[in-house]
Amino acid sequence: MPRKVAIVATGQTKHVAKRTDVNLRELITEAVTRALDDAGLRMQDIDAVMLGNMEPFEGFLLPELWSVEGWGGLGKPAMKFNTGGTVGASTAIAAYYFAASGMYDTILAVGFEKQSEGHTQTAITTVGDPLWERTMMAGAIGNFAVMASTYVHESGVTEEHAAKIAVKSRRNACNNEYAHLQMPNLTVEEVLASPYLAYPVRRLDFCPQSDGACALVLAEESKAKKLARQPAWIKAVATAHDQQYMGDSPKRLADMRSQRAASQRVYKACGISDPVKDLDVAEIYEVATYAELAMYENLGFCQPGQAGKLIDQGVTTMDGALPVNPSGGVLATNCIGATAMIRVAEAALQIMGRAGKRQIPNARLALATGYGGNAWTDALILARE
Amino acid sequence: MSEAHWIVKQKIDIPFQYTPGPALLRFLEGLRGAQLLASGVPGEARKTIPPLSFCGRAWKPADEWTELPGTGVLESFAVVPRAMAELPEAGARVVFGLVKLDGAETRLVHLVRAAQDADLRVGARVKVLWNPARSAAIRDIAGFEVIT
Repeated sequence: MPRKVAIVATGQTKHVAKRTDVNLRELITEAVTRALDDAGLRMQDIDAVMLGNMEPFEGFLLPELWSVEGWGGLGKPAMKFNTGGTVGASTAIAAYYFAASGMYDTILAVGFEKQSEGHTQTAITTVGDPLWERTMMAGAIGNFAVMASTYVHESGVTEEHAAKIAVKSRRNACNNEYAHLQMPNLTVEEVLASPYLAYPVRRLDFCPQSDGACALVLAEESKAKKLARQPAWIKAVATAHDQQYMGDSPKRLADMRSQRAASQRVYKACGISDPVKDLDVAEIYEVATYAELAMYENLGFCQPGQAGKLIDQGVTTMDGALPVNPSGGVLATNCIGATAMIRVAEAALQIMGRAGKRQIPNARLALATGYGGNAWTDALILARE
Repeated sequence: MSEAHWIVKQKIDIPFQYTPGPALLRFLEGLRGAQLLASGVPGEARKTIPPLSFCGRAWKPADEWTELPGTGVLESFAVVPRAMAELPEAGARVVFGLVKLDGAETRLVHLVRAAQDADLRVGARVKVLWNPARSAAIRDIAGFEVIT
């Protein structure tokens, strides 16, 4: 039987487009020291460190070696992960595995990305098939636009539905002191007036590029109870993979196989039959407005074709039945290697009752997801008990 | 048969820029002024060059600064028996060395000069050579010269 494990502390940097005041190592240290302070721990209390980053988004390889003094890895058991968009959640899940197995009691998980120093679209392009996709369309924006137009056709969502998601995100972000894009007065009309990056995706339909880091402290049951008044217990984790070649999954957003598989696994493990009713809050990895709408369907928040109705009815807004991304989500902040860990951290803060102005009252059960271009999805369920 | 094996060649250019951060910025500005600046945690013996802003061993800010005298020990070296286009100042052959500066715990990699090959040995004393024109970069240091 795996041991019970909880998240007991979190740390984040203030996410912005360019952190030119610090180097990569110093950026990571900010998040790590905040998480340790939050737990009331010293670095020598940490048994092992799990590190997540999407290289070569910084423009060079193995950034963990260069930055090791900044994330506490000197002389400690440590492992580095790179699973693309999901990496922050994969790193948290790896830390969970190590603690649940009995290998280590107190584990630090760290995710980071200083995107301003490399070239993200160049790096993403290398993910595409070198013969068929790289020379045609392999970056994030074109890829999403192609997926979104299929999804629009299948689901009947409109540009207005997408714009409402954009507004929800950037307004929620105003309650999150760490969020990058905070736009308190953003309107649907402004989103609809923003230029197309690639039809049907407009500029304000898409996430920003951010510099930032996030850290978590995970602990097994007896330590967790000492370290946090209300730990965020990890009830279930799942990862699911699909192949990357877009020619073999033509519907992609509309038929997100890895996301359906991962979410169904964690729902089953927790006895969740109606996510909107059973979950109190969700922090999902939505890179674009259309992705969030598609995820409502693929995560079982609504029947196929009903995502537009869900946002029209306000089900996923702050006072709805299932608030999605009170933090502002990825549409407000995307520091890739940290992004999926921020979903986990934000879900944990909700469970711990420490989410400040973005707190959902009495949040007892939370979903966090990580997402990597349809090719893979991570899912975690966090709970008060 | 080898001509039947196609190879598709591509080239990937990765743009890159870099923020040194406050400690390295102070170090680079020091080089412009022909100063070698190391940092450490106040009260701790460990001084690093190039400096760290935060010591991962003590897990404390390393904000105590020391100017090093510019002398040290050659801890290792390599002799490349040809000119390198990237390092024209080295001449017909290039000698790299790892220099542990007096007063620092860490080492700098740089060019090494010696009057004769017999002087090139691990443990040799060296001193810094400055470029007359400096621009807050590591090559403000011309290299390290073996003191005989």
